[in-house]
Amino acid sequence: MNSKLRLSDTDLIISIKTNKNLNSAIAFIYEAHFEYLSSLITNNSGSEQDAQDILQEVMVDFIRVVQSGKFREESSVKTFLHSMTRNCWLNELKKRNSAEKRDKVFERNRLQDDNSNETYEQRESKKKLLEVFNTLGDGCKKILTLFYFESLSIKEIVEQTNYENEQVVRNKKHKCFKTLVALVKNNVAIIETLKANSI
Amino acid sequence: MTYDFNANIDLLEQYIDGTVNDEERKLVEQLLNNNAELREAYEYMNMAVTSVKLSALHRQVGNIAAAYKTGKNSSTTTQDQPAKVRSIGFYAMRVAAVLAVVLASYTAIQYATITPDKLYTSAFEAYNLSATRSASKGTDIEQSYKMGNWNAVLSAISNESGQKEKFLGGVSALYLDKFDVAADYFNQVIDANKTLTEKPYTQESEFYLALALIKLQNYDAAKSIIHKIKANPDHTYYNQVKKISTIRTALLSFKK
Repeated sequence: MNSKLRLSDTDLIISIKTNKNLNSAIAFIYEAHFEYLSSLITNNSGSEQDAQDILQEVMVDFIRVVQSGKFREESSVKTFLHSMTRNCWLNELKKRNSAEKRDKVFERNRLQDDNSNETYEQRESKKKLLEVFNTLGDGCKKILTLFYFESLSIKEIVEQTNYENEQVVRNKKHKCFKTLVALVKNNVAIIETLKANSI
Repeated sequence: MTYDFNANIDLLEQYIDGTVNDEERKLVEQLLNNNAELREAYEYMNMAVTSVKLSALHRQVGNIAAAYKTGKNSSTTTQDQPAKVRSIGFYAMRVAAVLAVVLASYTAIQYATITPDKLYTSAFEAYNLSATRSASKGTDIEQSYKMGNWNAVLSAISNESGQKEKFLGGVSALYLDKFDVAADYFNQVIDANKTLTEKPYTQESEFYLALALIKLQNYDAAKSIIHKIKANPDHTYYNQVKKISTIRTALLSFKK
């Protein structure tokens, strides 16, 4: 993919915040910053696959930080992503229980930015949250995604799926949501960490 | 409203969904202020919504990352090709000899290293549907495609599906390494358009059909399409197809 779009930091943030051309915005971040961010990992004990995994995670977090209005624009997007990548990779190394490597990584030029400093526990909680969602059946995943992520109305969901009418979709969505809430509720570890950190 | 936990739970869901009226909204906010049990339920619901959004965003970023990776491989392959030596002067014969050696070496290296996978990867370009948030979000198939749910796209296609759906089915099949299925869908699109003035998705189908045929090792058919596209600068995929070296495609034929 080759995005022709060139965005200033301000335009990029607006694009993410308003959810307009989000795909292009993400593609632009990859093109503009992937190589640099990737090198932070591959130059510090990480493989290329590590870099891809970590940067996917960083990208999701960055979008969520921007969309929740927590990106203060006091630093550039590149600096912020650098900080997020560093923290995420440090957490990963921590998980791998490699204290020696961790101590050697990023010893100099440590940046301070509270918004980018996600804890190991928060990161694990989010992974757990993804796992919980993935235990749902495909039908439930689809209907909940269309409703809560794509922001489609019940009527629009009827038009785009094979469900008979709005009432069927409404009932199905309600049932799926109830199941998901119960799954979340049953996972005490998630609840406690999320309550403490509000990701 | 008398306190009925289950009824309030339903109301809470509607509150989260943004489908309550002003009166109900005030009631819910009042209940949340005064009832710890309901407040806790509200937190669980918000986490559930977070899990949906996180998961979808993860998939969306993953698809773009994969497309970026494909594009990067493509440009790397192009840059890796040796530069042509063009200077000819007093030592023309020697230069010509060097050129011959370089060409022979290049051909030998290409012959030794070229595979259908490499050729395919160097030319593949992710096909992205428009991501605009209009009132109409597209068909079920388009939604599944946008979400990278390739199996769902294939399951939803029927004989009655239109050219766009069948084209998306072809691309989805490529992602699933079902190259024969992909080629079948692209051929269906091209055939269906033969008698039409407007030919929706014909050019797109031609390009991806050529890629599918490379993977299927049907190099003659692939070359024929590649030549056709290269002969038409107005073709949507003209620039992309220029990346597919005729020499490399021919070498694959020899290796077969």
